[in-house]
Amino acid sequence: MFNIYLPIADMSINLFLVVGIGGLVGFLSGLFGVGGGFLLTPLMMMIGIPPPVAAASDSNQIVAGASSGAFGHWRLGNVDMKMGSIILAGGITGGTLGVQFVKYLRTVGNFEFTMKLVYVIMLGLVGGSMFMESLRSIRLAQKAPSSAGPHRAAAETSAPRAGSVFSRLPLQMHFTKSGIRTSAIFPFCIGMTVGILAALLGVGGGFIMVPAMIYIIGMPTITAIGTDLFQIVITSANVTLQQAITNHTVDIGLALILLLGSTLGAQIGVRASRALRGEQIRILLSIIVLILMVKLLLDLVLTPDNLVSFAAGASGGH
Amino acid sequence: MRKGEWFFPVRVFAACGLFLVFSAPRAGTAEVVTDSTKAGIEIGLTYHGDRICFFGSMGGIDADAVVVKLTSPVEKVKLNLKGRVGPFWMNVKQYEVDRVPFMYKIHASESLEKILTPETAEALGIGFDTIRKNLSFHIVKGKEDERDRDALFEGLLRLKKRANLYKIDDASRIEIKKGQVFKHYFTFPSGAKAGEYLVESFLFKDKNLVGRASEVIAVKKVGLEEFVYRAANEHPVWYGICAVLIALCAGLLVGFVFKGGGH
Repeated sequence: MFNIYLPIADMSINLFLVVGIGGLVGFLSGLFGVGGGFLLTPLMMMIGIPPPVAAASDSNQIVAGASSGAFGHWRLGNVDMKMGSIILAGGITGGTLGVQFVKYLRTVGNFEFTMKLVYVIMLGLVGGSMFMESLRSIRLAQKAPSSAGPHRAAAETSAPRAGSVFSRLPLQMHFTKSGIRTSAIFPFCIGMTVGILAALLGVGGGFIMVPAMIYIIGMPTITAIGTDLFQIVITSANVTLQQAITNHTVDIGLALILLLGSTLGAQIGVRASRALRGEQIRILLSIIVLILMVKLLLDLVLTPDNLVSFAAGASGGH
Repeated sequence: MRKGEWFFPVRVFAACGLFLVFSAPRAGTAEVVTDSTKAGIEIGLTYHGDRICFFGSMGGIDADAVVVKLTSPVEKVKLNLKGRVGPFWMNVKQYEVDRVPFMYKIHASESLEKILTPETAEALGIGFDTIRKNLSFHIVKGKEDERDRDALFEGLLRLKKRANLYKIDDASRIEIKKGQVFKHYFTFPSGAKAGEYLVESFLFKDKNLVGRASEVIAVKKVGLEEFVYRAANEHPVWYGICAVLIALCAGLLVGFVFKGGGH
């Protein structure tokens, strides 16, 4: 009942399962204020969507998911266009190279392996550091319940600005909007890294980009968020287009169903976040991320059920 | 008798003999009348597999068993073979395997051994062994090893069986009514892709083929599914641009509807 046929993935899937996964990720993103692309791709793979279709359609969904936020921030003047353009130059370079890398990996048959391995490393780092930081915040809050609040304390302790290093690098530029002077090299490089990850994993990369902008480049938080959303929309749009052209793996229907689910989920998530305490929900998110990481790691190390699988470019192989 | 005339009876006899030899597999096989509940399957938005019932008349044919084979045109597939690399399992070899039927199903009224001889099974292409014999393997990546072939075939069978694309069901799958009519159904799983599928019915009497029929079932994508599939594969640039624009509009729309929601 309520099955829907996905013409690009070439499979039939329960509509509520896809809406549910979108909803779950939307709920978590509403609750934690993160994009959730890095949760969506692994979850889609778990319900049987071929990894390349999952990653490419996730990029398409991110274009939709981030567009309204980006538009809102742009109207409020929270986007540093100069910084955004440099990051985007990196993002578009990285995304375009990344899609070609995906094509190569699919030809030699190790796209799924590489993708899962990068996910394990990334989810391990993100989940691990989030878990440790939340634990530290909870301890701090317990020691000094009446102090300025755990978030600010954590931010102050973990904000080593790398400005002095970047001030010695070439291509120095002044960014009026963010009120900083720094080298264009690092923003370009971080943009490129996120672009490659966007192609390989179908993520927006906000979980790397925002901390890098705030703690490493030294941008104000609100400008960092606005600029990040702006670059996410265009980087993901580029990745979607490249994936459609090179790998034929974008399922617009799947992306729209996920968008529907995640929009509804986010509404509930935002409301739920008002009722819950910050550190506790962050610990919860880090545990979810770590569970996903372990699941993917087990996929890579446990003896597979079948040593044979279809390769890309042949029947049944996406 | 003129020179050469005595050859005439010999020639007739030889001609009859040749006729018998070349028509031997078909000797005594009658055309069977069969029908199905549908002549085709349409893959639309809500497609999740389909089922078609098949009927055949055995009237006038003295048969005691029926075997039906469903196949689709053979194709070339690429198969990855995993191996251990350090602590990880990754694809270490890739083979190109030719002449793989996309779908292969056998239904029978009783166990195949009771219905036909191994020779007949091979001649009619009935049984997984006949698929195996036709395959050709060509290494694409890694070091070729003769022993990989059995592993690849076993793995391929498991992949196909799991997707319900390969199946041999000879446990009274075909019902014969009063020796006159046989009926059964084929399930086309959700993974059954567009294409033409051949359904061949074989009637046997005492392990001899006495009747046969064939039908073609066309499976095709229709409506939105066909449109999206063709757009993505035939006009990927436009498809990509549209996918981005649709996503942008949809995102802005839901953002407008649920102000402040999402990101």
